[in-house]
This record gives sequence, C-alpha cells and structure tokens, in this order.
Amino acid sequence: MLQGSFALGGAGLVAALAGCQSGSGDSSSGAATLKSLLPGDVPQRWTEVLAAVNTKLEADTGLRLDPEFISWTNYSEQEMLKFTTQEPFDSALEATWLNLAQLLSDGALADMTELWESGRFENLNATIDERMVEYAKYQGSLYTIPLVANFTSPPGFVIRQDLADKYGIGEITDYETLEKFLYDVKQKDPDLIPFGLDAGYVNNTVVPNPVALFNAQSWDDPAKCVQLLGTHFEGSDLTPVPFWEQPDILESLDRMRQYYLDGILNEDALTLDMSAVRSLFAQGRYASTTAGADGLTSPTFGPVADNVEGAAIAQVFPFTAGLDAVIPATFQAANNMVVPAYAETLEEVFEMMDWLSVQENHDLLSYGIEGEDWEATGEHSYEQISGYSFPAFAMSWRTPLERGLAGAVESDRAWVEWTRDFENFTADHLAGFYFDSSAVASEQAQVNAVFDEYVLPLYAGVKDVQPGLDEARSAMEDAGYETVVEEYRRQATDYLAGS
Amino acid sequence: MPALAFFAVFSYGPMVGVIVAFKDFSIVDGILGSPWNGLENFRFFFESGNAARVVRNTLMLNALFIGGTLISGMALAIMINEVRLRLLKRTAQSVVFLPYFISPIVISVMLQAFLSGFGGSGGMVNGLLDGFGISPVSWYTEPGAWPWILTVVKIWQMAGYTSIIYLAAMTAIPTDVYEAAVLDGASRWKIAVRVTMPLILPVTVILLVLQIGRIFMGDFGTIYAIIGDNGTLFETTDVIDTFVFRALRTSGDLGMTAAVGLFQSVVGFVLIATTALIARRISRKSGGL
Repeated sequence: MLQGSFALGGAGLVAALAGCQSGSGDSSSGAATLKSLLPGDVPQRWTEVLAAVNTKLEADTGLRLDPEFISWTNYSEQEMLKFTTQEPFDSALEATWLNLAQLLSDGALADMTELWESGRFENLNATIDERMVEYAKYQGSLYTIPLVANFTSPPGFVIRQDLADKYGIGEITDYETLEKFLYDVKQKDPDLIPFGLDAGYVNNTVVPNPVALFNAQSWDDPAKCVQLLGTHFEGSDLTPVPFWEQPDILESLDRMRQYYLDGILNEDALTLDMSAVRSLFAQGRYASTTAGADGLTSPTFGPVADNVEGAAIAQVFPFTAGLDAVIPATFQAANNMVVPAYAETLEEVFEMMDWLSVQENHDLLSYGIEGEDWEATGEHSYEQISGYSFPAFAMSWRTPLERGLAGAVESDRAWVEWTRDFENFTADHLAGFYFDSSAVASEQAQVNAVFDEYVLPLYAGVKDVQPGLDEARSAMEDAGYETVVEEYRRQATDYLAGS
Repeated sequence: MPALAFFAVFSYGPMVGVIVAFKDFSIVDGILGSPWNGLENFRFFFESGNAARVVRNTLMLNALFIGGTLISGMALAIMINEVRLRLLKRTAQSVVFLPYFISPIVISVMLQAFLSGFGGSGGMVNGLLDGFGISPVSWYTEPGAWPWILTVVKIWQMAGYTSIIYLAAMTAIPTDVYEAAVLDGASRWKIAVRVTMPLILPVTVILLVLQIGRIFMGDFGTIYAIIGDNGTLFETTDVIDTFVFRALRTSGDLGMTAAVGLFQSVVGFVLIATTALIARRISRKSGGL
C-alpha cells in the first residue's frame, strides 16, 4: 500500500516530473467541456439532469459540464494527487478542511482577483456576498470562489420533540433544559440513547467556535473562536491559551465524561460515522444528535416519523439568546471552488459559475428537472419528487437563490434564515487569516497525530479527564505544539499588523 | 518480456518518485523542481515518538497474523484432508474459503455488531459475558485485547485460503507413503503428525518466506477499516501504514509520507533478502524447494 504513497504511478509520475498543461476537453459538438471534481457518489437520475444542464449551458454559453464524482472517503487524497500530477481538470471543491492551506501556500491555485473585479460576471458578483469574498482573500488576492448558502453554520441539535413534549419540557431554549431532556430520556425511555455522537462531530463537543454543543458557557456567551488545536489567541498580542487552561473547556470535559459514564452518550462515538448515527436516529434509537443550520435538518431527520409512530423533530439552537444571538464569525466559507494554476480555462469556469448564478440554471443543477425531480411550492421553496440529490455546496450554492424544502419544521426554517442574515454576525479578530504551516510541517504533522490519539478521546468523554489531560498535554508538547502555536501567532500578528 | 514491461512501467518506473522523500515538495514545482531538504522529511517519523511503537505494532501484529494463519491453515487442511466424503470435502473447502472474499468494511461492521452492538457496550460478546455475570467491556476504548481480536479476525479471514494451498500440497504426497504408515499400524493422528506435516513443510517454508518478506507492510485494509481514527486503540493497533495514511490525510505532505514509505520499503527489502537466503539454505539441507 505504501509504495503507492510515493510511487505515484507511471503516467502520473511522468506528469509530476515534467509538468503538463491542462485544458478543457472538446465535446463531440465542439463545445468546450469543463471537468469539475466533486465529492460523493453520482446522484440518482444524473444522466438525465446533466443532459438537460448541458443542453441549456451549451446553448447559452457554448460550454459543457463534465463533473467527476470522487468518493468522500478519498476525495482529499485524490484531489491532491491530481494537483500534484497536474492532471487536466478545470475546477474542484476545496476547503480549509481539505487541502486549501497547502494549495494556497504552494501557489497551486489560479488568481481570480482580476476576473472577480472585472464586472463581467454580474450574476456571480450579485449572488455571492462581497464580504465573504473579502474574507476569502489570501495575501490580498482571491484564489477561491466561496460557495455559501449562509454566513456560517454553527453545530446545533436535532431532538425528538415528541419526547420533550411527553416529559413536559416543551421547547428547549437553554442548556439547562437540554440537559434535563437528555437525563429524562435516560430515565424514562431507557431503550433510547439520549444523544448520538459521531467521530466527525467529536471536535464540536467542548471547544467553542464560537459555540460548542456541550459547552454551556458558550451557549450563554458565544464570543470565543478557538482557532488551532484547541488554542485560543487572546487579546491584541494574541497570547495563546491552550485548551487545558481554558476553564469553560475544562468544565465541559468533566461534563462530557459524566455524560459518557451516565450513558447519555453512545460509547462508540470514535468509531461511528455520521451516516451511521443518522440512520440510527431515523430508526428511533437516539433521542437527539447533531444538526447544523444547513437547511438539511428536516429532510435528513424527518423520516424518523415514518419509522416511529408519533415521532416529531425540532431544531435546537445552541444559543441561550436564540434567534437574537449575535456571534463572531471568520466568514471563511466552508466550501469553495478553486481552479488549478496550470489550467487555461479560468475564464470559462467563471462563465459557467456566472450561468449557475441565474435562478433557473441554479435550480436545474441543484434540484434537477422541474416537474420530474422537484416542484416549486413558492418563490423560495420546493418539494422534492425524485431521489436526485446534487452536492450543491460544491458548485451551485448561492445564498439568494437557495430554496427551502417544503414541509420543513419551523425551527429548522427559522435557524436557516438566521444564518443568512449578516446582521447576526460580527467579524472575529482573526477573520480572513490563513495559517501557512509549511515552516513547521513536521511538527504540525506530529501534533495532529497526537491530537487524534490523546485529545479527541477526551472530547468524546471516553477517558478520565485529569490523567487524560496530563497525557495529552505532555504528548502535545513533546510533538512540537509550542513551535506550531508560536508560528501561528507570528503569522497572525503580521496579518493583523498588515490589515 | 510482457512481464518485464509490466514491472518496468508499474514498479520500477515510479520508483524515481522516491526522491520526493528528500525534497521539500511543492505542488507547483513538481518532484524534480522542488528543493532538496536532506533528511528533514525523516524527522517527522523518527522524532514523533511514535516510530518505535508503530514499528513494534507492525512487527507484532504481522507475527501474530503469520503464525495464526499458518497454524490454523495447516490444521484446517489436515482436518479437511481426513474427510472421506467427496461432497462434504468440497463443501467444507468452499465454506472455509469464503471469508477471504469478504470486504474489510463488511468485516468491520460484523465485528462491531459482535463486540459492541448498539451504543458501544452491547453486542453478542458482552451478552455472553453478562450471562456469566461479568461486566460488559467497552471493546472500542480498550486497546489491550485488540492484537488478539485482530488476529482472530485475520485467522477467520485467511485460514481457509491458506488451507487450500496446503491441501494442494497434500494431493502431491504419494499414496504409498500413507499405505506404508497404515501397514506399520500408525493411527490417523500419528499419520497426520508424522507423515503429512513433515511432507508439507516445504510449503510452510515458502509461505513463511513470502509473508516474512512483507512483515514490515501493515495490513492497512483490514486494520484501518476496523480501527479507523479511534485514537484510544492506537497504542496496540497503529501500524506504519495506518500512521502514514493519517499523517498524509492531515498534513498532505507527500515528502514526509514518502520518507516513511521509503524506510518501510528498505527494511522490507532487507528482510526479504535475508529470509530468501535462509530459505535457500533450508531447502538445500532438506533437498526440497
């Protein structure tokens, strides 16, 4: 297996050694075809929808789309390998949780600043908030098109509202009530696990950014964006405070451990993936789990009503202030479209993205063929009538064009609306800053390995807190934690001085 | 000739890429254009404090896997060989061979149902323990038992496959040897131990040589599918391959991961060469192979 990690494969190696040029392929009709890398599986009815998209796209712009779907499990590695071997493709989904930092620091992405500011792509300019674009810039230039359906998406909860009503709790609006709900489930419905946690969301349990699921203090005061390896950079001199010195996080770690011991959480969080947890929720095995403000709560979790008689869901916002909350945000889009620096089709990609910024075209790719895959139920809502599901976050998300699913629960709809209102956010002091870890790559890799091993189990409540903290702290320091943090601080200080 | 071309294109050609282990790799500059950085990439692995542990785990788990699959495969082959009913023999061969074709992902799901069930502290094994009045074990947070759990999984997966190889070797044993043993009054057990086992020893040596040569290569597919990123189990289950995969995924640095891959390959090559020499000597002495 490992040979493969450095032996890139015959053809790829030749390209990586020599460098080669990308370019759009030509379709049989002579139209330029854009190849985009997208995560996940090929959607149902993709052939029919893609044909309809290409017919209209070609008629309007002379371009065609030819996306390549890459499994989620290895999208990150596959995409990096394609960049490395300079395989011809025109655009890709990128993010800070993928390879964005390295691609930016290596200069591997096309500079989009001029095209963005040219004014030639009016629809694209109009549908992506300029402030998101400003914060997406790296060293003053734009290398990514932010794909946004909202300004930020904090982690929240989906709960079984029917159970909350049964226990006489009603609507959950603060942490104390949430905790009461969890313990009531444990006591009164012992066959259910009160909260289902998966490996991906372990990071969101105690460390606020600016809120964490089980950090009660962050519910009351979502003011702290913890940036790196659980470290908060405080004050104007950016003093680094590790998670083991932040009282709210320490209190939350104790709480997580207690929940684990009391059976409030599933014990297998570190091995379960999100789809397994969601499937178990749909079967009625969990009373609550994580649900973001992405507009997907109702379609994802609503089907529990098909399996459990009388089941009803509600979205719980992790803020005591509810919809009046105003929170700090970095405004860095979770998803972006990028173009390789070696591609010669940047302008065509912009044309395609501009075309997708028109309501009718956006709807065609995002929701499918009207009448066959979906029906409009209002100006900004729709009803799904087929199994078509396109990863719109990777290409066609545009805040003003997004439609809500008909029949969404009110709390879900309200929270999505809240995330789309810029007035609910303030810019975090480090908004717009990208950390380039290349100078401390070795230490960063070592610290990341240690973090997975010693810190995440603490976040999941799996380990006793005090011995676990001692172990984690010592392992992190041995791995070069301070070196990484100091480099981050140095770059962040320079960034603030220059902004 | 076609074989040479195959290895030239898919094995030897890409080996040029090994130089990335000594470079500060940049995507834009490519492998040749990236600046040299000496042994910097090796620092990540050897200074991580994990090098000794992942090497130890790789060797120990592979030793358990090799020992377990060879012994169980041989035992299974001897048992199947004793079956006289042709149909039953064929059926038994097919049934024991079946786990070899099951995907590691499916195995991991089966194992979770078996060990932890819903919620992490259920499962068949805990049900059994409960029957004996023993408290349930949270298997997926206790690293101690995992070398043995993985070995059992590996035996279940590979014993049938290995037994087929042994059975093929057994068919080559002349029947007059068995007839002589029967005439001498040997029991079925004695025949198996004194006749069959010594005569299939060369096959064991070949299998051993092949597997020891790969003892530095962790069984990534099975281990990663089962353990994933569960840090609580790394102490006993993290092997070179899973360590490198996680490092590549989180750091994306080809140079550092290539350095570990190179170290693994060099040690693997030394081991293969050594075991091949030892095997040659053994075969000379026994006149086999």
